[in-house]
Order: sequence, then C-alpha cells, then structure tokens
Amino acid sequence: MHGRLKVKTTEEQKAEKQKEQQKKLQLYRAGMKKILSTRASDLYDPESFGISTQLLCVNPDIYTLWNYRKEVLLIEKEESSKDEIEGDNKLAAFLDKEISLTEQCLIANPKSYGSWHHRYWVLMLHPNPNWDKEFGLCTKYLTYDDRNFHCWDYRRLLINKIGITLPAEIKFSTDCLNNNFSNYSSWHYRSTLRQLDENCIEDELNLVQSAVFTDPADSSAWFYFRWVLSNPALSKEKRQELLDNLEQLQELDPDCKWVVLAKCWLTGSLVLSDSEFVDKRVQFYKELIELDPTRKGQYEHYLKIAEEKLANN
Amino acid sequence: MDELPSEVDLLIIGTGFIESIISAAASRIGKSVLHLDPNDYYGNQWGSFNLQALLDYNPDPSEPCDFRNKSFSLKNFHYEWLMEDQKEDLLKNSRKFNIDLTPKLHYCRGDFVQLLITSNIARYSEFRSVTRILTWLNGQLELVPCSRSDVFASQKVSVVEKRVLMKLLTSLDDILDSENTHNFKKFLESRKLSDNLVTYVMAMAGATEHTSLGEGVKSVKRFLDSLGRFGKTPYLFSMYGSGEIAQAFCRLSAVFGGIYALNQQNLISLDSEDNRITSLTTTKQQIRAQNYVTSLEQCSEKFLRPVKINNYISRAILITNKSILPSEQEQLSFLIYPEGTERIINVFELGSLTGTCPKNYYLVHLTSKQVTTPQEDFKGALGNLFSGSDQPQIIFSCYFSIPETSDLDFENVPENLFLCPGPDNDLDYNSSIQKAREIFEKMYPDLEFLPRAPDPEEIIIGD
Repeated sequence: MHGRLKVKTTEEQKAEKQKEQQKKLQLYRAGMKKILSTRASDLYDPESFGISTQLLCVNPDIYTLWNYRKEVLLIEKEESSKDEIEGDNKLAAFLDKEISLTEQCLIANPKSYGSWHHRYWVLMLHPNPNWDKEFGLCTKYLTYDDRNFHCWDYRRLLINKIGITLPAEIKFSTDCLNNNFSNYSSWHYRSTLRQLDENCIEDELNLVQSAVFTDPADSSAWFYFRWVLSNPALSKEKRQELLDNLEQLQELDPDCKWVVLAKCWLTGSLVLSDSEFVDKRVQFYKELIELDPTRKGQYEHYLKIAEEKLANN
Repeated sequence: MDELPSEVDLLIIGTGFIESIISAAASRIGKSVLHLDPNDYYGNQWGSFNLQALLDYNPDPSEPCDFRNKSFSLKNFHYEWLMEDQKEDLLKNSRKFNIDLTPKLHYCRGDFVQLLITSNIARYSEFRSVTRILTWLNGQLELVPCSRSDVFASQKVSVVEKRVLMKLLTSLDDILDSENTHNFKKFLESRKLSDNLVTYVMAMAGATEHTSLGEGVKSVKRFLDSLGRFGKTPYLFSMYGSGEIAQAFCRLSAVFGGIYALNQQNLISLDSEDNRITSLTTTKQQIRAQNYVTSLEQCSEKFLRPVKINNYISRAILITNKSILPSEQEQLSFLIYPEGTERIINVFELGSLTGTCPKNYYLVHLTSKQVTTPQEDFKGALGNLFSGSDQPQIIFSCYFSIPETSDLDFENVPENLFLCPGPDNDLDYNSSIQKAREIFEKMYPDLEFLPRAPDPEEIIIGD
C-alpha cells in the first residue's frame, strides 16, 4: 500500500536505544582511559583536555575530570605568572572558556555539584572576575527552578566573598517571593539580609501579611511571620494592630490553625515575661487543641503553663 | 501539473481549521485523502497574511461559482493608513507580519492543547504564553491578578481583599446550587467583593453583566484550571499567528499520505444524485470519493438552504507604534475590555517576539460580537486606548466582519457531504475541535480520532 508510514516496533526502538547507549559507553571508556593515562605521566595534554570537555558536557558529574581540569588550570596559572605583561590577559581568556564550560554543563544538569564548585573555584583564580554576571546566572537558574538549593548556596558564597549590596538583594528577594512565596529558601534568605529596625519592620509586616492573607494554609510565610514577630523593634501598638488583623483573618478562615498559633506568638509566648495576654492565650491553646489534634500534647503543655501563670496573677 | 487521483476515500475542499483537522484525522487512520483549496493560501478565514497580502485580500469574489459563495465571505472589509509616513517602512517589512483573520488563544489545559499532546502534533508548532491579562476599569488599564502569586504581589488589592478573592477562587466547586441569584455579576457583588475584584473576576470569566451564574463559574474554572502549566497566565498563543495551526494539521495529514493541491481554479462542480455526492468535476477530470467535506465558504449555495446569517463577528486589526501599557520587557497582552453591559471586546496585543510583526511595532487584534459595524463597535475602545498623547498611535487599521456560521443548520444536505462552519466568536478552538470530531465520527464511527503520531525517529524510511 502506498503512502503508508512504516513505524518501528517498540522492540526495534529498544534495541536501537541500547545500541546507542553501548556506543556512548565505549566512547566514554576510551576517553577516560586516554585522559587518565596522560594525567599519570603528569602532562598537560591538550587532546585529553579537549576530551574531558566533551565528556563533561554530556555528564557534568564526573568529579575526577573536574579535578583533572583544576590541575591543568593550575599549570596554566603557573605559566601565565611568568609573563608579566600579557600573563593576566592570557589567563583570563583561558579561564573565561572554563567558565562558559561550566555554564554549558549547568544546562545539562542544573544541580551538578561539580559544575557549581568548579565555577566558583575558577572565579577565585580569575584575575578579573565578573561578579555581576554570577549574580545574573544565579537569578536565571532560580527562575528555572526556585528550589534549586545550589543557586541559594552559590549566592551566599558570592555575598560572603564580595559583600552585600542591600537594595539589590532586597529587590532580588522581593522578586523571588512575588514569583512564588511558597518557598522557605526565599523567606529565609530575606531574613539573613538585614537587621530589622522601626523603619523597615513595617514593610516586612505588610509583605508577610500579604502572603498569609493570600494563602493562610501555606506554612512558609508563617515561619517568616514568626521571625518578624520575635523582633524587639515591634511596638506595642503595632502588636495590637496585628492582633486585630489576625482576628479578621480568623473570621474569614476559622479553621486555620496558623492564625491561632500566630496569635499565641503575638501575645507573648515568644517573650515569656509578657503576662498581659495570658487569659487570651489560655483561650488560644484551647482552640488549637481542637484545630490541630495531632499536636495536642504540645498545646496542652503550653496551656498548663499559661493556666498556672493566670492563677499566680 | 500532474493529474490528481481519480478515486479517494475522502475529498476535502477548503483548508480552514476544521477541514484541516478532519484531513489529518482521516489520513492518520489510513484513509486516502485529497485536500484541495481554490485559494492560493492555507486557512480560508482562519488564515494568516503578510501585510501586502492583507492589503491585496479580496473577500468579495466577483462572481459566485460552485466553489465560492458570497454569503459566507468576509464583509465590510476596509483598511486605511493613519500615518502615511510609516507606510513605506512597514511595507518593506511586509513579510515580517503574520496577520490573522481569526486570532485565537489556547487554554493551557484546554481540549486543543490536550489534542496537540495526545496526537503528537505539538512537534509541528510553537507557542508563546500570554504574559499578562488586562482589563479596563474606571478609565484605565488594570492588570488582572490571575495566579496566587499575582494576588500576593498585587499592590492594588488590600490584604483582606486578597483573602476574599482567593477564597472565592478556591471554593467555586461548592457554590452553584446554594445561590439565590442566577446572575454572575450579582453573585460576585453579594459575596462582598469590592468593585475592582468584581471586575477582575468578570475579566477571568470574560463575562458581561448578563452572564449567568453557571456560565460565569464555568468560565472562571476553565481559566483557573489552565493556570500554572506553561506560564504566568492560562493562555498560549501560536507563534507566527493562529493560521499556523491549520497548516500544522495539514502537514500531519501530508505525512500520512494526504495529497494537497492549493490554488485550484479549475473546479467545476460537485455532482449529486439521490441525495449523495457522486463526484467532483474539474476541467480535466472527475474525482470520486466516499465522503466529501467542504468549508461553507467554498460550498455551492445549492447545498446550503436556507442561507440566513444572524450574527457577525466584528474584527479590527491595528498596527501601532508602542504598547498600550509599556513595560521593561516585551509583553504579550490579552485585554478583556467590557463595552457597555452586553459585550466584551477581546484585545490581543502582539509584539515582535510572537513572530507576527516587526520589531518596534505592535499588532493589535480586536474581536467582538457585531452590533452595528466593526468601526462603530470598536470606536469607544479605540478612543480610550489610542488617543491620548502618551498612548500608542495607530499607524494602520483594517476592519471587517466575519459571518458567524457555527450554529447554522441546513436542510437536505447530501448525506455524504459534511459542511465545516467558519470561525466562531470564542476565545479558543474548543467548539471547532468538537465540530471536527463530530464530522469525523459520523464518517468513521468506530475509529480513533487522532491517535498519537510517531516521532520521526520511530519512522522507517525506505525499506
């Protein structure tokens, strides 16, 4: 019959795939053998170096090869230090290629430990590193996957190395949260940026309230809320205002345990000496026992403390 | 030219969206398909044109023949240059335009996307997600917060409103039966939603003040269901224009042996006997088929009784010099513009990243149910969006009306002739796919509609 497509059976496809894999494996073995043999004789062999590039692009998790490349880069650095005029430029050009390689490898596997580490290691060696580009890369990979912890780690490394530009990092953090606020890393990162004072605590409270009002069942923002509440810069009036807001939220969502829990944090269990709201807390813990029976024991314990306190007052 | 085959299983005339799907589906299950089009371009009223081709477009054939009837062609076609000085530059870039007669969006989890995936046609086409949804409230453009993240980030919605809105959107399943009102807007107002929240939710539903509760809820659910799959909004747009889609199905049909011939000026008649079509006569030959599918636009009026078109779709196409709401990055905007109490105007603003217009220009599509004429129907909206000193300027505009044929019924249609209506006023292709599926199932009741097509690496080439 004419004009009909012939399609391979799944068996044929499987066999084909296996054949391809075998071919890949052979290439990998041959490449590794070549590299290891030249490395043993302590030679920087450009051919082996080239093969390692190819192998890493396919599988960036062969840490032996990253170590091999580090050795070669050190030789290169040694060489360049002999040339006083052009040395730095030559080294920079060589290392730039290495940096682009890690970028290629990250496309293959954005969670490759080896690629991220190697990149940072190369930057340390670089006579003139472009840090802005690194921040950009970090941001880019977080937009692909905002739970890629390598990016968060890398960003911390960068900040430890070159210091923090507060407005830029605040903006970065806000962008991350605007993108998806159900992310512990984003909230935690934000909490590491600065000490809260009277001026900025208001902004943080607004931000975190936006999150808990949008989705009170999402725990990530509540943890940040708790952290902000623990700040001594929070005034008494502000506390009262927050308590009113939470009452309002509870009216809208009476079954959400986080709201009641936040009311407990707010009325003093974070600052145990505060005895003003003890009677209220007794009530809150009773509500929590109903709302969150799996943690009943914990709430009963707190309830006991609160009740004792109330009796002593 | 080689002669066409003289006997096939299925003969299709017209390369509109519905015809093309049927063609692909029939070829896919091994039927021999001959697919003809009197036009020299794909897509009929679903087609895309470059700028020059749009200017040359002739919707009104001088004499109706057996394969062209006047009733179903575009009406009121008219264009003008509002900034003559830009004309030359735009015409020089004519081929960078892909101007849709019928632009459509796709719900990310809608039937169309599902069909693309299950049938593996996705490989023949590219998409771009709509980046923002806008609406018009109190004399200005407003961003509609559509996802949970948008609601969180919106500066215009108070925290309590955030909760109220989220609560409404997450509890749509439970509200239908218990409500007193049957009007969607009244229902929203009864939920103590503030004016802007009501407008946002109305925009999500594409609802007017007359939309019923059931319909409104259904539309919002569709909107929400499609969120979080391919981008920030629930919608995708076809790169290089919606006209690409019909062609993608034609390509699939051709891969499975469908034979294509465009620009067929030599068709003479479809001959019928005893309420069946027996053959197609051309100047050169006779072609016999078991079944015949034609677009309404290219069908003889003798099979289309009674011809009575009740509704038209108003369309406007604009080329402008900047975005209606400029931002750092180029946006692909979908504006839901409420016009009066009974009508919404769907506005798509496409930048160069969609592959439908050159850099530094925007292509704006307006679509609405027709009330008077396209010019009149869009006058208010255009006045609001394109007249201020800081607003974009219209360089070129083109207006026309598309007959709404999706709900027409004809009497005494030959039993092996299947008629494909033209575009409808929906945002997406859902009902058109449904129509194609119905026709397919009538012809081939027990066969699968567009099963997954093999990838190229699964195909044996040669022997």
